[in-house]
Amino acid sequence: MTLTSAPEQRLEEMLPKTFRVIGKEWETTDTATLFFEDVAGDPIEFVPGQFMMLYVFGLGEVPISIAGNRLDDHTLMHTVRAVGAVTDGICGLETGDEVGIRGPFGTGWPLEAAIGRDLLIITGGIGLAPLRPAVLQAIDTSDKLSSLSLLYGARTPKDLLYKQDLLGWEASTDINVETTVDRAGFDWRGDVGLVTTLLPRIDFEPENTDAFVCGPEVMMRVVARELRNTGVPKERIAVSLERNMKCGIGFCGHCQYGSDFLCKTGPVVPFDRFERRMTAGEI
Amino acid sequence: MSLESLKSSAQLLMDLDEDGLEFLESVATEVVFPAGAIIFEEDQYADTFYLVADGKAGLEVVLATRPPVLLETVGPGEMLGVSWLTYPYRWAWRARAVNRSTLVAFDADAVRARCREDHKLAASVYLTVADESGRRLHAARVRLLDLYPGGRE
Repeated sequence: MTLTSAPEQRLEEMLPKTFRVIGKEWETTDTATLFFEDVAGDPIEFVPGQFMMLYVFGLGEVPISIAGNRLDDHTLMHTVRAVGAVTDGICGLETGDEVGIRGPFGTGWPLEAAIGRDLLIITGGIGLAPLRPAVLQAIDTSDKLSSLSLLYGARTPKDLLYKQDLLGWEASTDINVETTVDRAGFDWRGDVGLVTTLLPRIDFEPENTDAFVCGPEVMMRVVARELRNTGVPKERIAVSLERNMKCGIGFCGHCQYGSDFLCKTGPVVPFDRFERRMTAGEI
Repeated sequence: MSLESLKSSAQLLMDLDEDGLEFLESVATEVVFPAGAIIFEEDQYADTFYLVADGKAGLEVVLATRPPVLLETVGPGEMLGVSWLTYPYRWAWRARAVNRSTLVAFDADAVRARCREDHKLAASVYLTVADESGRRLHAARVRLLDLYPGGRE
């Protein structure tokens, strides 16, 4: 074991490692899932909910949540929506291309705390990506949970991510999956409506429930309050918050949100501690 | 009958006393709709209202230039549409069974008439529908924000 001083460790965390693209799948017309391997061959360890900093050479660096299975320690999976220069660059990568990656950074979903309880995983849009590793781990340990449910909302049926996963999960007895979209034609056999309207369909004991919520912030507020209204304790609701993560190690302060640096105390945080901040116009 | 299963899941029935429940049972019938069947039409007089016992039904808007658009779906325990209770007692949207669905149909004329005399029943019915309307209004407002970005066309 090598002992490193704090400045040396910080320097190490700031240095990207080289990863190679080993596969890419388009989820929607502007969202791709990419699979990477560490060129040095080192195993990849992370906690569901954490993020990495992806550096496209010559373009820049962005924080992206890990979407893969933590049991596969040789493949790093990220789902990226092309919304700007760097994410356009990531989505444009092809097999064999190399990028720099730092991490993992931040906090994870409190899966251990949910043992013995009903676990509700509620997500919207691309928010399923940071929750996918938690869903996979929760399914693996579903015998330790009282129940496991995934409620997922998207804009339209074609905007749903991980369609193969969803089919598999829907067929599984380990997890109850409910999907809804904001708009659809009548060829859609699923639900149409806000994700919270799915809650009455789920069998759970509110006071014995933990909830993981990830999506646009307004959606998380609405969902968390609906959960609270049904009796889920606010302190048992975890949300994933993002700000301008830059260094990833709580040093630069770009991701400061009130008294917190979200790259360190987040992205996964307890809703009750951040609720008031989430409704503040400016911090 | 499916009404039995709804007593523990449909807010309208859960909130009623024995008399109210007995009355609603007396004006209820079970109806099965195959997938795709029209349940009621837009602007049709609402002589019936429905609770979904099994399956899924949706409210849709008919458009002249493209296929109908699904506005909202409801599942077991939920009320299909709320326009039946208030004047002019006409459905705002068309309703269709998304998949094979069992609905409990109530005689809306009879329920409205009874509510004018039985204020205890009226309070339960109006509060349930007000609750449901509020929930749907809230959901519609959040959906107006168009929270989830869509893919490029």
